[in-house]
Amino acid sequence: MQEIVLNGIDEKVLYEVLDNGLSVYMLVNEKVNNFYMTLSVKYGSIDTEFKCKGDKGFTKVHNGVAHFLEHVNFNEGEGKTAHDYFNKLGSSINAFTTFDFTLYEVFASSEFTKNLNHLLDYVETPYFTKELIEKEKGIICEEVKMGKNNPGQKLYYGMNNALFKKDKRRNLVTGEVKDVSETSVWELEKVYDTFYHPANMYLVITGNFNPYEAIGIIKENQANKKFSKFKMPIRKKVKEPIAVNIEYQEIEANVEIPKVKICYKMPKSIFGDYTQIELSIYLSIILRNNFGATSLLKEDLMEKELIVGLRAGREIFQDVVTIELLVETKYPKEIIPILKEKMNNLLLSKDDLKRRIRCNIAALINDLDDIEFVNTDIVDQLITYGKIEDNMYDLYRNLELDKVNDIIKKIDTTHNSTVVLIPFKEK
Amino acid sequence: MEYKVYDCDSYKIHTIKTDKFKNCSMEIMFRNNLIKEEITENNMLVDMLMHSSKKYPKRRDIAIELENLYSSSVRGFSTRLGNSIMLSFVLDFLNPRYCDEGYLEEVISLPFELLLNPNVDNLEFDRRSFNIIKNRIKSDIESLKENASRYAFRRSLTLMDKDSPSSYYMTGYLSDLENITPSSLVDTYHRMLNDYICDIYIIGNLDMDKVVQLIKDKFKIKTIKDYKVNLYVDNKIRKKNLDICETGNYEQDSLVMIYNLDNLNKKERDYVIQLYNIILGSGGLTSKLYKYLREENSLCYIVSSMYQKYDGLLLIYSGIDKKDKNKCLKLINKALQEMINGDFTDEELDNAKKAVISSIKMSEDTNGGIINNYLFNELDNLPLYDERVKEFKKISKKDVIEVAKKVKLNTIYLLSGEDK
Repeated sequence: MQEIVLNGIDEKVLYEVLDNGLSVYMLVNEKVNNFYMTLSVKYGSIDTEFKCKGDKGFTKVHNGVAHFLEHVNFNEGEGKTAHDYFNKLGSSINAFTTFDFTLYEVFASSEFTKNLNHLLDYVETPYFTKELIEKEKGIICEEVKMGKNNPGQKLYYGMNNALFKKDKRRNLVTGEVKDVSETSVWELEKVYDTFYHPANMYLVITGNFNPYEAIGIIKENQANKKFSKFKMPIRKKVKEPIAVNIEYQEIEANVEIPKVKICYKMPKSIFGDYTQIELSIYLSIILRNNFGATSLLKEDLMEKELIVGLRAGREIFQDVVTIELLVETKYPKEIIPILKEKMNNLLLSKDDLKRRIRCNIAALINDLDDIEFVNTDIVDQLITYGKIEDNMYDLYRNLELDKVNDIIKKIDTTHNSTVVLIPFKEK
Repeated sequence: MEYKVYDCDSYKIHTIKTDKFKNCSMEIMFRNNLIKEEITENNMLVDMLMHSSKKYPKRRDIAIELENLYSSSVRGFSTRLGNSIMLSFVLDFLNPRYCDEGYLEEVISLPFELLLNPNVDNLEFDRRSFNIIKNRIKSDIESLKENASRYAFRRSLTLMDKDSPSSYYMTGYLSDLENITPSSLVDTYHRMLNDYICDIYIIGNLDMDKVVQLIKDKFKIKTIKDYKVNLYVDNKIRKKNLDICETGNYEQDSLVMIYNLDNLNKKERDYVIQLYNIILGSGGLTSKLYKYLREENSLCYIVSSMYQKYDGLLLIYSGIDKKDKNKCLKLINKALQEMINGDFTDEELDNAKKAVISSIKMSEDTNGGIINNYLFNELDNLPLYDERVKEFKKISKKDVIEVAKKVKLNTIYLLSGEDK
């Protein structure tokens, strides 16, 4: 087992990659009662076209298959589900699917060995029958409809559809009702066989437990199972143009006050040599300062009673960086140009930077109390960067004003979309 | 963990010393009996006080100060606990050992600075801040409909009995909001300081004698309050239940069932009904409701029962398709009847106990959970965690059946989308 020392915050992560390829990461907190374990599979909703060595063409599956698989993977045969087992232990379990991965989680305070073994066993042992899959369709369709009741989700996907022409983030993680209804057993089996392999999974454990015992349990568990060789699937690349799909769109929704989202799309290459994590930190600091709680613009617009809320964020994809502004306002026509103007005049002073550095370092320490947060953070880093960043502390401490200004200069606001959720018109 | 209470005449300080966390938390709370007409102004007040003060005239000034104090946070909120209202101000901050000299005093002083030196001139709150907050609350009230399940709960409880505190909408009412002025809010402010019972809870790995001295120096209020706040709402039982449908712009239909819990004794309220609730419908994916509605009949994605202790109510919620309403009602009744008949195994009861004990253990891993442990002990004589774990273990199947007989249907409510 190897150790990653997290600089500056007095913590370490233990990790090992097993012979079958399973990556295990552990961070112990002996002060708490509980432990939290997650098994993440690098297969998400956007991975709908893929091929393995020897395949002639790409296999295409319905949208929502990753999420469907997450639902039915709890089945264990003989009418039992993983819930029955964990319920007897008093543990709480759940799972969720994102664009990029599927995560299965266990939260518990006792019976460490049984919890750990069963998490590995149920995720690694498929049980699909036509009957169970048909039954699940009604449930998932209600989940899709529940999502559509939520204006936040409507705005989110409305924007993805406006911003992207090809990217699969345009589609609901769950798929539409039609996708769900048409999903078949072979698709689920195909995806399971291709992606649900230990070499494509991360097991992350945080909280109060003995990591040396844990690795022993994991190794024994894995040694008792046979896995064929990982097929190293290749996902079909989608070439997303920098031009947006729709520049301006209004969508009716269950809102009283319109919600506006403005999104900018730019090639990652324009920023030059920054690492993904550096770019992510700098952009976050810049946006917070200009649109967050300490921004002058926000205060001014609130005082003039033009807006009720304002937030900003960024996302960094393979080749594309997006910046989004989210505002609630009764005056979209007046506010949109003001925000766009501000995007071309971003500012950050030396004092601002100093303050933000202090906040980020404080958060680094603070977050350690929450074993769920720590775990999620490790998973996010593994999925995004393929490794743990062991030096966040120095990264934060060494942030430079020159780089802030350099990045501000490079932000390109040419390509953008605006989506406005408006109240339903009276019929 | 070391718990101590300091009686400071007009308020009490409760200190909980523990080395469990790297962050610390302080909660200042004011309690009183709930009056519907005061909900909106109370809600506005807690926001106002955390938004600006004499020393920090704008919200941005506070935001900058908080960031300088190692990303601390302060927030104010009002909550209803049965018949009572609680106005809380919470400060979360980093343990001083990671911070500069003098940090503890600076950070502890902040909420008292905000509470005691509000942005008031000529007996009026600062109008700029006032308008920002008023707008925000207006928007919060108006956006209730955006969340289908929240709206369905609010509507169903209002239809059940609009005069019951259980139905009050704690964000506030537009009609009351219109009547609040920068000067009337100053009266609200004085009422809170003078009439409401005040307690301060502080948790962390801190020198508590020093903390208590700091608070005593900063927080000097001089009113003695000596009366009882009554928590439990008496919701009347109905001879014939209501059955109401309403429509809105929704893709999915929402079903809410409201049940009275008729005359539970303390043991039933504190322990038995919680186990009942887990077996029936709150126990995640193995409960009876989940099994019948979701697993066996694919009628929904979400179905869950909730125990509202201080309202004496049990609620069931499910997101369904309205054509399935009768089928759902039948299955829900089947589950409830099985509880009365004792059609559940000892193992199910045992699993429910394990789930409760597990959730208690989880609460012990957060500052807020530990504060609540002592708070509810003080407010409602609810035994502390360890004692509760022991009591839960003693509950028998017979106890659960007795409680099952006291669950009485009051209202069936369906919020449906337009015809599709």
